[in-house]
Amino acid sequence: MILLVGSNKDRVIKYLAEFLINNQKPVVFLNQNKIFDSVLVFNNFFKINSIEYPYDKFTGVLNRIVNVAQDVSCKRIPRALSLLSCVINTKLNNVINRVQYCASNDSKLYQITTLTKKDIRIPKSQVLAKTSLSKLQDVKYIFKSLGSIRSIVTEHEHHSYQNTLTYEPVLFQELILGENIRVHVIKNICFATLIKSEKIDYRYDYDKRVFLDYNLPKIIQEECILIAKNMSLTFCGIDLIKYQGFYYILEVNPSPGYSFYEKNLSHQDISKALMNALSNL
Amino acid sequence: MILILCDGDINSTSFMKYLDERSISYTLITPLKIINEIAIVDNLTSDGSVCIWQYQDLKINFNDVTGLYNSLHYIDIKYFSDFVVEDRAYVQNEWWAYLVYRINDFQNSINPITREVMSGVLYQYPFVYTTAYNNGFKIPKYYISHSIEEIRVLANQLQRYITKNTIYFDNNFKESNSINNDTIGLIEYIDGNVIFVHVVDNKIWTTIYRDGGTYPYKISESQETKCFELIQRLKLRVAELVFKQDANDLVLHYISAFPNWLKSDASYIPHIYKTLAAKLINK
Repeated sequence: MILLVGSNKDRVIKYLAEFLINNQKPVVFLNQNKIFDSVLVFNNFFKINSIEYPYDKFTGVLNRIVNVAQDVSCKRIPRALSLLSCVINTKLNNVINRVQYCASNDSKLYQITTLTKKDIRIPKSQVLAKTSLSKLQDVKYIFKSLGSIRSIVTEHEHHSYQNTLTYEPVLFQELILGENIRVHVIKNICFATLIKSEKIDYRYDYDKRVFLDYNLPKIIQEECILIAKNMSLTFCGIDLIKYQGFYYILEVNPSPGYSFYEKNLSHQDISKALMNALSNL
Repeated sequence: MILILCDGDINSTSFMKYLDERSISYTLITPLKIINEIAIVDNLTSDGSVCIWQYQDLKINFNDVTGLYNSLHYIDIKYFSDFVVEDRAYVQNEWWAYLVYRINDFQNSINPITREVMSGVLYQYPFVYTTAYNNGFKIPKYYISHSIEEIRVLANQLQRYITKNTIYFDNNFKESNSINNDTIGLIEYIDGNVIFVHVVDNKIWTTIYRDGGTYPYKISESQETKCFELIQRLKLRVAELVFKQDANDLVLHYISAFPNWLKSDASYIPHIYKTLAAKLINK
């Protein structure tokens, strides 16, 4: 039996659940928003809608728990969620992915400096704080958040505050106008998708972006698999840019929204591989 | 140059006093200084990083820093009161993301911010016990549950226990005698003396708490080896391991990546600080 854990608003969970049901796989959804309501955590089992699910009956767990704000009115909810997360982390087998392996995504620069880089390069990056932006070297830059809170990647010269000081640290990265490639790694398999878009941040190019299967060179596939393995991630999404024959890595997402890509492709190979991984095959 | 990153905690203060008394120079950086005063230019390429922090007349080039002693494990939101309310959590998150990178990119950080510290799992006793057990340590029985009925049944089975209202260990070894609606964890209460083990890379100091005092103590070589292996597995350079000594063995109760050196026997403390200082002076 496969366990999916997260919010009922999570599109990835909804998409994968439908795929698993269509493939006659036994699946249980644990809705984190129903904790203390219809979801209870016991020492050796979950009780969901009054049905007991022993921890050792799950072949695999897709862990997509979203942190909730600390100031929610009921103090028991964050405490209950941390207990749930802790149980998943310590008592269940084949968890994709365990919480500590996802932590590096909280600091993008830290993450890319820890990667084993052979044929994949890292873009020139600069962090500035309380410093004039004239310190930026003479290349074009984008800027984005350093941490895990999503920001819209924007070209620096198009930003209205380009001549001001930054008071918090801001990550500027060399603008690489190449091909955007998302690589999903599941165990030892890579699925590469090319995203054609006219915008720097294709996530916000709602009208014109196009998704295509991409034939990633074997040497780059092997390096992506190695990156995931070194980070102990069974499943991850790696953002690459190909420019003038070189591959640059932007970040590794340990909780990838893969359905966003697969919905625009003509197959469901990522879901199939994920189903196999969660079935412990 | 030695850098000390701390928020005025008692351990760092005590260590700095040791450095002052021996005229070993260091630069103290607090969260308040970082957020409000230090100008940062930090460049990263495939060849490595070049980082300059400018603070008043002092220019800190990380290539000249020999060691970084870090006791920060987060930055308190109180330091961001100058930002509008809706931006505070974002700015706090960005500063922490930067500091994690900077501390970890530097090769001689004691301690680096490991993924277990970043994710918070190192503060959770179920994670600590699972990891310690997998490393060959004896651990107390423990249970976690939302159900107060189940907690009561498990408490009866244990007979002697410590209750917990969170999954985070708070260094409290006191035996409990009641369970309330907030109890979500039980840890087996074990009679015996408390033993603190402090590790700095390949050095170890063991202190036993007995009869109201502290005494230097020696654990077996195999126990020492397991301590080293465990902290290497967690990618820590310094750590505090807390044991209870039962009739036959040591039972691990807690691991901290931010050791309280003052829990060590007083005779050890100068040796610990001397070791730390030597490691921070030599890159």
